[in-house]
Amino acid sequence: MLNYVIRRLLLFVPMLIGVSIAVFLVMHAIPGDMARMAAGPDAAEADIEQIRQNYGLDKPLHQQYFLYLKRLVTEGDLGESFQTYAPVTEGIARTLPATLELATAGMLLAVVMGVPLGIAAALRPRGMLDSALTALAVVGISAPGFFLGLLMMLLFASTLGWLPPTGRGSWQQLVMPALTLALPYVATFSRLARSSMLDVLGEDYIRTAYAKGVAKPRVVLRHALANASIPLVTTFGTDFGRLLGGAVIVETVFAWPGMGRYMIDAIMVRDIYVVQGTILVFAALVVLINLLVDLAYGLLDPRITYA
Amino acid sequence: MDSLTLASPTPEAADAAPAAVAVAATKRPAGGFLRYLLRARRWVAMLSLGLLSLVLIATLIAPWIYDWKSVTQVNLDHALLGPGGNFWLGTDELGRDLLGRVLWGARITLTVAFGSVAMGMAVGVSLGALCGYYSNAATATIMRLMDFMIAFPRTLVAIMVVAVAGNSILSLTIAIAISTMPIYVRFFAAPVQALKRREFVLASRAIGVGDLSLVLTHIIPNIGSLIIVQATTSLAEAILIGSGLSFLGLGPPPPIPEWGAMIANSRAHLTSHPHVLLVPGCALFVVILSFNLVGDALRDYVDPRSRQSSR
Repeated sequence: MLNYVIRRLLLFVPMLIGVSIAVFLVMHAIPGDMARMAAGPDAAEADIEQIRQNYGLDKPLHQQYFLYLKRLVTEGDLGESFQTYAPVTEGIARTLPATLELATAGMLLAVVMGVPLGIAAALRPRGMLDSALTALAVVGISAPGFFLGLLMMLLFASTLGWLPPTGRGSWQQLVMPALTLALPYVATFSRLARSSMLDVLGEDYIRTAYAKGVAKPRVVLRHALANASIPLVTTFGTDFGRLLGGAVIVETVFAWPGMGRYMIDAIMVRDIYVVQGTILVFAALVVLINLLVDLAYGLLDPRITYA
Repeated sequence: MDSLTLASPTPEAADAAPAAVAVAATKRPAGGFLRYLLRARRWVAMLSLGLLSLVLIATLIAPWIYDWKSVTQVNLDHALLGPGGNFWLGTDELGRDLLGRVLWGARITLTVAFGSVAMGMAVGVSLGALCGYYSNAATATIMRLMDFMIAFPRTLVAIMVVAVAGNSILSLTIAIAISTMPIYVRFFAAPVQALKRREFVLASRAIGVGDLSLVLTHIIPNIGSLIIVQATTSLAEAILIGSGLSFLGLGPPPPIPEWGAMIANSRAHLTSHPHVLLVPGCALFVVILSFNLVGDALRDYVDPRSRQSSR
């Protein structure tokens, strides 16, 4: 096990480097002269040349990459914004907490709502709740987050006046964005929890537990859930990644000052270092979550052996 | 467990793979898909199919009902009118007919969706067949790479592509195709691998049929129904991603009437004129929902066991 953890951790670094190369290459495929874009529309040729030298843009691509990597590793520097001249790391430090807050709240809501619903549906297959959830699941994956978010805003903010429509700061402002983000995953998680619970409930050891007199809640919540949660954890990494993608859109709907919004605004004005930095951080988050999921997987399921 | 796999396959892929293998072994109900819908009393799926056909017809004849000028030209004299009167579904903030824009928007949305699924499928099925048919270091590397890509948010991958390729209908189509392609590779590799071991394939190989013609004549036709099922649900997903990007302002530039962009523009008048949001929003939601419902019914039709085994 320890061996596996160490190997898995060691793999984290080359993965990040691979991702950074991919992101770097894609960003440099953007048409146009970066120095010219950085300098602005009516800059003098000399200034553009100056910028080109300052950023090392006159060097071959691989040297540019190593320069970028060196600055990132030694100084924690991701370059600066062409628009505000503020360091990209500063912008990320400002916006990342908001994104993490939103994503965590959304994920928590999805798990807290989805898993119990799925378990309840599994206890009475083809019952009322089960049928309702089946129907809701299709609706959940079909509703675009931004439409759902705006509908909620129309209902809870404009019409009823219960919640503030946009912004971040109070818990009331977190409710609608987190709910918008969570709803598709409530559907996914409840379906997954239901099917894996049904599989586990049919197993011999569950019948044994009932036979020796264990109460039903304990059988379901301890004996069965322990095994039924494994498929849920397996998909958690992918789900979290997709949720982060969804957060980019939800942030725009609710004017949530997160990293997704920061990135989209930068794309609009081709602020390349900002785009590159934020995508890199998003990618690192996804890699990190998947690493944690793989490790948690080993703890949850002792049957897995690590060769 | 493989220590190198970054991504666990998506839940859909994990569910679908065993069913996929079963397809070749089971017979589908006699008669066509429509007869199946009737006999199985799948009224909701039937309604969705009817609705989609209507939308398709409407988008085809849209140019004869509304000319391009009437859906793009600004006319502030009748801005933000409610539904009724001359404009059945009202007008937007620039006085453009919402029904006309929604119909033209459907043309854009469906073009992008069908285009991206066709592109993604062409590459995805080929790579999936390659990886399922041959198992060596090269195909293993491709599969790893696909897992790696699947782990990243599709929206983010698509955003990166649009950032490079610019705002246009074509680049939006390519962005969606690239971001969804890895899922198809994963999805189709498993059934190809299973088919490869079937007797009729082994027999063909024994009489000297080459690899390429074996794949084209024996393997691809046998996963044909899977491709159609997957394509139907993929259309829903493509519309979802595409409209999301347009909502963010990364879709085709104005005044092209794209549903996501129309919804984004409606925000300024959300409280006073909600119909500007509701018209394109409902169109978008209903079309995505219909593709998903028809896709579900198709899956059950192609593989009767999927309905029973899903309990």
